[in-house]
Amino acid sequence: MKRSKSIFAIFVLPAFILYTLFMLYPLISSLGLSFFSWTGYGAKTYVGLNNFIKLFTRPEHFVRFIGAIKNNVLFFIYTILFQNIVGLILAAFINLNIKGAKFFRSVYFIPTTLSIVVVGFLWKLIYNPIWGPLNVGLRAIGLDSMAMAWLGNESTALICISIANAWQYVGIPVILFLAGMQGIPDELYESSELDGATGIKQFWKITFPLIAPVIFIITTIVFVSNFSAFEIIYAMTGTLGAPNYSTDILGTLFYRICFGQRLGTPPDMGMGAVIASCMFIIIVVGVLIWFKIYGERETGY
Amino acid sequence: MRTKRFKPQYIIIYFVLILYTFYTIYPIFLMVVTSLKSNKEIFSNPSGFPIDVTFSGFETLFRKENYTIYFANSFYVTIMSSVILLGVSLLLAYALSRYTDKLSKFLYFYFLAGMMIPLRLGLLTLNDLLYNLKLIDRLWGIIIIYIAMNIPFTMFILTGFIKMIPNTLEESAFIDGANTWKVLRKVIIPLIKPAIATVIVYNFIPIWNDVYFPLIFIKTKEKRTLMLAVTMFFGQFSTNWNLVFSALTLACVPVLIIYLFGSKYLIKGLLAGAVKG
Amino acid sequence: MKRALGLFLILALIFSFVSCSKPAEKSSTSDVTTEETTKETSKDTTIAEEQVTLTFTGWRVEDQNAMDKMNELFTSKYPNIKIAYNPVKATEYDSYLQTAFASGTAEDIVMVRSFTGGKIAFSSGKILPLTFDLVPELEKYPESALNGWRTDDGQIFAVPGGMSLEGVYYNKRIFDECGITKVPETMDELYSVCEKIKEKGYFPIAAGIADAWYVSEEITSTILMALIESGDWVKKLYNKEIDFNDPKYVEMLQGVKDLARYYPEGYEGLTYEDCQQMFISEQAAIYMSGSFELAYFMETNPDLKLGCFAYPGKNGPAKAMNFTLATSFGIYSETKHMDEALTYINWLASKEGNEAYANNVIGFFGMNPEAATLESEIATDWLSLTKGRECIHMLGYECMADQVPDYTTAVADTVYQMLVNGKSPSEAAAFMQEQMSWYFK
Repeated sequence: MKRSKSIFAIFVLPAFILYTLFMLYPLISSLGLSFFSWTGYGAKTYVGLNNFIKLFTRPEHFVRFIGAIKNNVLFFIYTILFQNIVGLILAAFINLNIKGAKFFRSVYFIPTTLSIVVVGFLWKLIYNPIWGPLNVGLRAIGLDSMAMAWLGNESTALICISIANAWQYVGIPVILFLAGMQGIPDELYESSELDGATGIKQFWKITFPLIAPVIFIITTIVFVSNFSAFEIIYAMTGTLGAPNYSTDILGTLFYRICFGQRLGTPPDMGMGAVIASCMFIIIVVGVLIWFKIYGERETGY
Repeated sequence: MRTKRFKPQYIIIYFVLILYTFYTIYPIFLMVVTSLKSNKEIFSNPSGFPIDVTFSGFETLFRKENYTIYFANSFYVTIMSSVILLGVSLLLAYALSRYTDKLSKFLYFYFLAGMMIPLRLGLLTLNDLLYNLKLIDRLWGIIIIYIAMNIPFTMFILTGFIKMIPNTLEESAFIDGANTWKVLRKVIIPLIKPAIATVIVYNFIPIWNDVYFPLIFIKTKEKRTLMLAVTMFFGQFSTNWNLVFSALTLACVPVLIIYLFGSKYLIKGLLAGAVKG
Repeated sequence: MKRALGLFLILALIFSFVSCSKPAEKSSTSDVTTEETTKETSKDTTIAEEQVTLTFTGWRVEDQNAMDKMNELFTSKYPNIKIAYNPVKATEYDSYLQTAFASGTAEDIVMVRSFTGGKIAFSSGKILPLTFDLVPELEKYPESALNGWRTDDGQIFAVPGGMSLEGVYYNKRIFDECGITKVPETMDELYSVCEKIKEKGYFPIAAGIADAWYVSEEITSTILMALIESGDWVKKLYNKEIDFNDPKYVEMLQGVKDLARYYPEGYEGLTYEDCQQMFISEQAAIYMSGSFELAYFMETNPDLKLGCFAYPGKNGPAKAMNFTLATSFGIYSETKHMDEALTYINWLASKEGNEAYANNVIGFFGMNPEAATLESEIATDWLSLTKGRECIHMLGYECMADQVPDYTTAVADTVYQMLVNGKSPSEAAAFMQEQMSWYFK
């Protein structure tokens, strides 16, 4: 088939120009700020690698940085648990050819359309220690001892935020898993039923291996979005990742340092850019490793 | 189709699914009832139905706050960005999936890289750029940002779909004398309708909900988007929650409608995309 | 699908039509003004009433109506100058100002943060330095007010706008119900008042530690100022003669701990807004905050019978109280309407402007010493608390805010360690000192 270079160029150029100019160029030039000391106003001073050195040697920065990475990893694990495993179970149930499958599928997706402002506020209300429906409900059924400051407790805050986050996005894995499951030919199930496999056993032996690609895609999406997340934490526990930095992730650390705090530490664009560069490296390296693991597993089949 | 038999475990399954439905709906129910409560009642009776139903929030929005203009601005921004985004991404995705040389592979990753960093970081450079292009305080300034920002994801989804379409279909069209435009219009687009619906819904939601870029780049009151106008009810220390919730409830409606319209295609699109992997 | 797309495009077209017509209108009005200016030059004898609209931005979104009213007063005196107040959400105000300065699109009048934040904004060179020649009224302002907006080499960059006094609000109805007839004057009296309220089934105090700034500004600073009795202590701290292990600081932390017995259960997860709502909805009787809340309280719950008192000292009425330099007015140095901007700023700095500000933005007090009349009764009550008390600016803004961790963050972490992780007040003070050690180097 004849495909001319000029058509290729015409097709690629509009997107190329828009993307390069308004996305890549601002990002790269901002990452370049890593080598400067700048408050965002007035003049920039070139400081070489000083910002990087400061991040890794000054305890007040390094402790927070490591803490943020740790919390990010936890956030990722919780999201996998609350969003993807729950999504998988719901999808498996819906896939059983039940009545109302379409209804459930659609309803579970609705929260995805809400803005984070809404989700953050609603869940803050739900977790409120005094009048939050969660504690009110627990007290009503006599579980007073379980009622607590959900977002004020270091051991529960991040889990609670992950649940709110998962509540919003569970619809996506539900649909993706359903897609994967519906691609599995019925004959496979039928033949396994002849072998005596039913229910959960069937799920593990047939469904699960065949939806591995879906699991791979979802994990990648969750990884990238969790490690660049910011809004949900900001909306629920603020830029300091309260309580006691237990919900502080890379996104909040970046925001706090880059743009400063209300009447607090002034903006440090250079250090902010260093943290953003680290975020970028973590995400890219993580994705590459994940692709590699997955690739090897696939060829091993 | 597998045989449909009634099994007792279906009771448990329905129970779980219905329970989860309530869990999904409850916070949204909270949002709507909160918008009908007075500021005082929001916190004295936070979880149930309102005792005194008040529509004052909604009334204020339309009487005093020019909400119709904000709605119009939001629609304009969201629709313009979605449509242009779709156009440029479609061309891009078609080119990248049909030309399989090194350049095209490089470009694929070049575009994908943008999915990895939040554009918030590039704010100051972006500001210079918009200023030089005289796009500050123009709706088109933020439209362009939204287009650029969402090209990676849109391209990613569309490329996946177009690659699934066998070449033979196009070849026969080419032999019949059609040019590339016509092939794209008559062969490709009809085949990837679900994918198109997916990206429209998927882009519509965050663009509609975005506050950050309008907040920085829009100055004139008459050019505010809906979600930007909502933030105007969040005071430094004091917030008019009744107004906030009325506004948020209203802001959700268009997205919900778009979703309900598109959900059939959206789900199909996601389904097809996932199968391909 | 085709139909949906078609619908999209039609809608898009309609909206493009709507919004296209607007910029066109705009350009035509700007033509008119240029025409007017040419007219003005031709008719030199009569003072042409050229209508100028000054734009004004700040972070006080909730003051929109109050500011509009104040600005009407100004316009009634200077009919050719109109003011358009366009605030930006407080949390994004600074990045907004940064970008607006960088692209030369800032408003004519800008609110400037006090101390460190203001100095950084001024370093952009986009805020006009104000001299006594430009704004003669400034000469009357007390040093303590000007200090908030003055560089180290003495340049003033904004007219002090409003200050807020920090202390304690109480609900008069609940106090009556509990048989409390007198506001507490010692800390022990305060605790016994809390006991009484608790017995009646109300929350004694609405307080929480989920927001760092609340802990720093309204809880710790307020208690500290009630204990130290004079501003010398703060000066010594800033001069590094004493540090956070000082007995007064430990005493303050002890005070926070004692008071925490009366906080609602789950206070570690309560934000400032939660506490605010508990007080407004009359679930809690006492609320530690500042006069800046007045307007909001009165608007949200007009039935609330508000009272206020200064935080009590250890063994008697405190000799000092906590205050903040909150708002200020600066001029964007590249404004196209410099003369009008100066007229406006001079008005704001005057007795008249100060009164107009304080009477509309209720709870903020102007700092021109000549300004007197306050219309609001409760605002007058607040102001009367300053009688016999030295007002000391809340800790940690004049300095201690320019490195990580800043004072606000550090003190919030310290209180968390004390209340949640069980550190004793003296251990907590040592922890505070350790975090702030960068300042004492």
